[in-house]
Amino acid sequence: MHHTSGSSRSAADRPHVSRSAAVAGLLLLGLLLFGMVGHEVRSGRNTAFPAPIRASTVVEVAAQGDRARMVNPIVAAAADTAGGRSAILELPADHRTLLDVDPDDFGGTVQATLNSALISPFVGGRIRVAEYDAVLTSTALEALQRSGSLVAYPRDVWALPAEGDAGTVRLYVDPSRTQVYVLEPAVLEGSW
Amino acid sequence: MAASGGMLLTVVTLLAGWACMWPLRPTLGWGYHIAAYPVGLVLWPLAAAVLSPFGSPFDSGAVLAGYVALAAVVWLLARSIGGSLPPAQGQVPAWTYLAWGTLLVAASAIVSLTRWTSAAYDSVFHYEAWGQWLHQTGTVSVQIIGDYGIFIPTIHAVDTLLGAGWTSVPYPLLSLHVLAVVLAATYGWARPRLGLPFSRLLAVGTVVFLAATTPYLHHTLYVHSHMITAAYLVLAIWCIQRAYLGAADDADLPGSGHASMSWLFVAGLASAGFALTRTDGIAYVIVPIIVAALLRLETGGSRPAYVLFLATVAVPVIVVYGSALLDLGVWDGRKLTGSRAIITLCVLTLAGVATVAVDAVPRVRRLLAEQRRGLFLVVAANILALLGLAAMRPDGFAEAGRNMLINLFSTGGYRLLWFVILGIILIPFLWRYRWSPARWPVYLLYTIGQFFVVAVLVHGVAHPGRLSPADSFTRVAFHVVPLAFWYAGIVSTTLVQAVRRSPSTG
Repeated sequence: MHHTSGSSRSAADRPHVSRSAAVAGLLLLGLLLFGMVGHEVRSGRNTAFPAPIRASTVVEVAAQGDRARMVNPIVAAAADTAGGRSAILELPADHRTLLDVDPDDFGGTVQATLNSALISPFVGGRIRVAEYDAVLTSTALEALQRSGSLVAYPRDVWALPAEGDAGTVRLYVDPSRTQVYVLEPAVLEGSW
Repeated sequence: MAASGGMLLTVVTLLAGWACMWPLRPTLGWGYHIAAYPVGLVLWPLAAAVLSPFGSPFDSGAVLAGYVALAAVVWLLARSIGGSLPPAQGQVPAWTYLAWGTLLVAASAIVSLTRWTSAAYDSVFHYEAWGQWLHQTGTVSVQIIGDYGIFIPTIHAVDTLLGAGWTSVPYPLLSLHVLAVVLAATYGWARPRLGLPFSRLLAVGTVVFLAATTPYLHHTLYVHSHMITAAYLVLAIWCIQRAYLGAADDADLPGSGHASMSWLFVAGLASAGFALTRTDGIAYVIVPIIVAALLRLETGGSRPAYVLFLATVAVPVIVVYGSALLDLGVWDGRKLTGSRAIITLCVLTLAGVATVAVDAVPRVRRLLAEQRRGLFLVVAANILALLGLAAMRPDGFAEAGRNMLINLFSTGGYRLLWFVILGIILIPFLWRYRWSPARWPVYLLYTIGQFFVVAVLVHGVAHPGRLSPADSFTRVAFHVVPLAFWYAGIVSTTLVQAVRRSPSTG
C-alpha cells in the first residue's frame, strides 16, 4: 500500500494535543467502545431485528416467517411443482378471503392472506383470476390424499405434480379452508 | 446444488472483477483485490438493464454474454488508464490472489453450507420475488426500477440462474468487504504515524468493534439493501481519499496522474453501485460526488481525472435508467417515478457540470480552494436547504426529525451505537484540540454529515417515517456506520500519536 514512512512526516502533521488531554481522550474512547460492547453482551440477542434462520430456499424462509402472507411464495413454489415454470396459475375471484386465516395487519394496513399480487412475481406474472369453485368436496379431497402423489409444502400447502406441461394449474382449498391445493383442473374432472 | 450456486456467483463475479481491473493492479495494490468483487457485482444489473429492452430471455447464454461484454468494456477503459503506467510501479504478488480468492470462496462456502440467513417481508416479497420475476421474464419491471432498485433483484436472478436457491451469499461477502476497507483505511492512516505494531493493533481493533455491534451482525446476514449500500459507500469514499490525499494524507498525490485516475475509476464504479442498490440511491450518490469535487479543489486535482470519475458514476446510472425509459416509458413507480428519476439525473448532471465548469474561471476556483471556502459554501448550502425544507413543510420536517432522533437513540434497535458514534465525533471538540492539521478527518466527518442531510431531505420530503427499527431512515443510517468507525480509527490514531510524541506539552 502507498504510504510514507513515519520518520519522513513533518512535525506540522503531529497533533497539537497535550499528553494529558490525549490520555483522557483515549480513556473516554475506550470507555465508550468497551462500554458499548459490554452492553451488547449483557443485553443478549437484539430483538429489534429478525432472528437469523437456516434456509436455502424461499420456501424454507417463508415457512419460518411469522406472517400469514408467507403462504404466498409457498403457493408459487407449489405451482412450479404442479405445472412447471411455463404454467399459468389461476386463482378464484375470492382468493383474498379464501383461507380461514386472519389477514395480516402490517404498517397500519390490513393485507389479505392469499394475494395474487404477492404471488405474481414469483411465477413471472403468469397468473390470472378465473371463475370457478375453489373449495374441494370431501370426496375429491379423499381421492387426492389416496393418490399418494401429493407433494407436501410447509404451511398446509399441497401440490400434485403434472405429467408433462400442465398449461394451467389452479388453486383450491379444503372444505375447512385451512389447506391450499395447487392442481391441474383436469385432475378433478376424472374419477374424483 | 443450491450451495454450489451461491459459490459459483462468487467465483464468476470475483474473476470478472479481477479481469476487468487487471490493468489497474499496479497502482491499486490490495485495493485491487478489495474492489474486485464489488466491481464485478455491479456489472450484473447493467447486463440485465441492457438485455431487458430486447426482450431477451434471462438465460445463461444471454446474461453471461452481456456480462462478459460489459466486463470487456470496463477492461478497455481500465487499460486506457493503466496501460501507460511505468513498469517500476509495484505489482500485486501472486500469493495475494490465492489468499483473497480463498477467503471469499471459503466465506461463501461457510454461508452456503451453514445456510445461515436473515430475512423479513422485504427480503421475500421485494428482492427475492422480483428477482424471480427477472429470472423468468428477463424484463426489468416498473416495480423493479421504481420500487426496489435494479441491483438486488438482478443479483437474486443471477444467483438463481447459477443454481442457487435462496440468495444469501453476497450479503456477508459485502460485509467482509466493509471490514476490509475499514481495516485498510485505518491501517493506511495509522501506519506512518504509529509504526507497524500499533497501526496493526489499532486497525484490527477498529474492525473488531465495528463487527461486535448487533446492527452490524444483523445486516451481515440480512437480505436487504443496507450492507450492500454501506459497502459501496465506504469503498467509494476510500477510493476518493486514496486518489486525492493518499492513504495517510501524504500530500504527494495531486489528484492527477495515473494513480489518482485508477482510484477515481474504481470510486466511480463503487458510487454507481451505491446509486443503483436502492431507488433513493440516485439522490444519495451526490455525497461521493461532492466529496470528490471538494477534495479536487483542496488538492488542485486535474480535470480529466475528475471527469473520468463523474463519467464512471454517470454512465452505469444512465444505462440503467435510460434502458428503463426506453422499455417502460416514463414509469409510475411507488418510490421512484420516471419523471422524478429524470429530474434527479438532470440535477446530478448539472451539479457535475458545475463542479467541472469552475475551472473556466480560475479566480473563482482559487477563491473556493483557499481556506476551504468551497467546503464552507457547501455546508452553508446544506443549512439553507434544511431551513428551506423546515419552512416549506414544518409539520413533516418536525415529525421526520423527531422520528429520526428517537429511532437512532432509542427505538431503532441501535442500542448504544449512535451514542458512541456521537461521543467519538465530539471527543476532539471536548478538549478544544487544535486538531491534527491532516485534511482527511475534516472531509470524512463532512461525508457523514452530508449523508445525513440528504437523508433528512429525502425523508422530510417523501415521508416522515415511524418509530420502529424497520423505519426506512433508521435503516438507512446504517450506511454511514462503517465511515463512523473509520473516523474512530483516525481519532484513536491522533490520540495515540499525541501520547507517544508530545512529552513537552502535557
